Amino acid sequence: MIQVQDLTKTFTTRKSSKQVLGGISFTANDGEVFGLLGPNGAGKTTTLRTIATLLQPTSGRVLVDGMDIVAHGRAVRYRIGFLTGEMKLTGQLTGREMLEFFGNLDHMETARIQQRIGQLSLDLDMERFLDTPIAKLSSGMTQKVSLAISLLHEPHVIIFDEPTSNLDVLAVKIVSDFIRSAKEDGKCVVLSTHILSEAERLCDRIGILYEGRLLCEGPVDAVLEEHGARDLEQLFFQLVQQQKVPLC
Amino acid sequence: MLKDALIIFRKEVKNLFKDRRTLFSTFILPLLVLPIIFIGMGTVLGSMEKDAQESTYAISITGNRDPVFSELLSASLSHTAVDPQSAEISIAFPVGYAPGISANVVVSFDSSSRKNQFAAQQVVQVVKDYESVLAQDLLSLYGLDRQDLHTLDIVMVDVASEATQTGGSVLAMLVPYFLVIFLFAGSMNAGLDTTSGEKERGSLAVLLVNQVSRTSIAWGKILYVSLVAICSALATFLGLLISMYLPVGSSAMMGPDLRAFVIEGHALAMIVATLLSTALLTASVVTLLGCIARTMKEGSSYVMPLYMVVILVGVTTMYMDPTQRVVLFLVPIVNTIFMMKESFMGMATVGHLVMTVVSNLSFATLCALMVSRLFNSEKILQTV
Repeated sequence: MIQVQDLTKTFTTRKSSKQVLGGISFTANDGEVFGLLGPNGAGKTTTLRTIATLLQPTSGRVLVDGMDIVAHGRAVRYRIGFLTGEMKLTGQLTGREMLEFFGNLDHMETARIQQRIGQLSLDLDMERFLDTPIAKLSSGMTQKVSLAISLLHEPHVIIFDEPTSNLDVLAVKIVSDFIRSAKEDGKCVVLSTHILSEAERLCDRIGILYEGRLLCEGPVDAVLEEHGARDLEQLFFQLVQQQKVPLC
Repeated sequence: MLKDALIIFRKEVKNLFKDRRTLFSTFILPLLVLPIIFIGMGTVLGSMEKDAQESTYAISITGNRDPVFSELLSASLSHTAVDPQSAEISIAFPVGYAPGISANVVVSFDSSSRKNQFAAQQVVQVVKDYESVLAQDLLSLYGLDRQDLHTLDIVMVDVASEATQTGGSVLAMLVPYFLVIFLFAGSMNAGLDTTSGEKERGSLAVLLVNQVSRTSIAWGKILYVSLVAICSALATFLGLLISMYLPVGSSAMMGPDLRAFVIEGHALAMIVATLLSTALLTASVVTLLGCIARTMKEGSSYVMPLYMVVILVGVTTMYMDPTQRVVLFLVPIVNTIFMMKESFMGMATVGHLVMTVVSNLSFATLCALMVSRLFNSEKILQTV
């Protein structure tokens, strides 16, 4: 479970200071997919990176399975699998070698790494290309390897930052299927996306983020009903206009 | 921490050795570049010299019909006699010249042609030889021989060290320059790829979410870049050694025959120690700049000015003698060059070595700590 409590984040440089998150709170439960929605620059990536211990909160708290991300960073990192859509695996190492590398980074036993690679290879249908250099793989195959990397240490919490950006239709299906499967396994999945239709298909609960503020949060159906919107797209524009923020 | 750093190091090295293109540019290219330059230039210079020697030149001789001069010229240079207008080389004796009288001999040639330069030098030598023959004739009239006028013999004694005499000074001029350049070039490719390159590929954020400390990640990357820099520099050094033993071009390019040069064990150890400390320094600096940059392109723009400075230092110190100015052994890169110069010339001192290594390692540690600090701060990710 992830609990975000009144989280703020301000990036400060010598010349300026910019608040990216203005006190957001939400909870993502086990066995559900929580979607953080919003346009580019809304603060989605900052939120997910903070949960993943890559950034520290300026104020507020983030708890992962009850552990504070600042006080127990290493323990939190062991419980989360983090994947970003920006990641482009490349190079001459094979998928197996990359998985072994990340397994070592997670201080996993060699036997367990091999056992997990075997399991993930079956689950994600990777046997055909697991020993092929990543540079020679298709985008779908590479995405499967990326997914396997995030799952290798059997994390309980899965954080996906724009997991389907820059992917073709087949690769998007691989990611979508995986997210549903992780949810069925009782894992807590948090994903960010600016593709609202994708969120509607995958998420149990959503939070709409705009300019660092969470405009609404809750189960998809309940949120739509509450605001009288037929879909997430309509809901998003309604909420933004209520904020009297000009859309550009 | 070292164990974790080695995980990063091993992965990067494995990736490097599986990537043929990177392998070629890091190891094979530095290994081949000097032999190719030497073979190429040696072959060209050799063929130009041969062509100059075997050519027949159009030469005009005016004001002197002495057959002795013609015979000397024919023995030295293949030529055909032509009129001054169509001559490549003109030899003009003054009007009214007779063998034995003082005169100015004008040799006209085109200096833009290497062949003509060669022919002109041969002609000048022929004129000198002709002058000797005439002088001998004049001395004979007085019952003297030219040898009678030769009263002093000059004996030159070279007091330079054996290493210098056998070509150490030539190596001291060339090797430090090439080694430092390739140390830096090797660091550049690997250092930027493993830092700003990772940012561009979006893989750095994922790399940071695991059980390994960020300091270990930073050190793993620095170690990897250092290894690449060292291998790149050693490949260059090996390439230079191959060049020295090449039958073509070595003497044409370097002057003395370096095949007789033998470096002593302690000098070699000093060169290796200097090289290792410099590799660590360049790797740390390039890794630091790569961490600051958002993209590889931006990283290159940070590293290139530094690379230019290194080249400038290499060029300006190339013809300098080893220095006794102690303070220079505290300046990175400059100390490396002078330390290697001393080592090749058999003049290296332990004091200079200690100063060089301590200075390089201090700067390297400072940069590595800054890299580690960056990795442990959010700044490393603000640009991802």
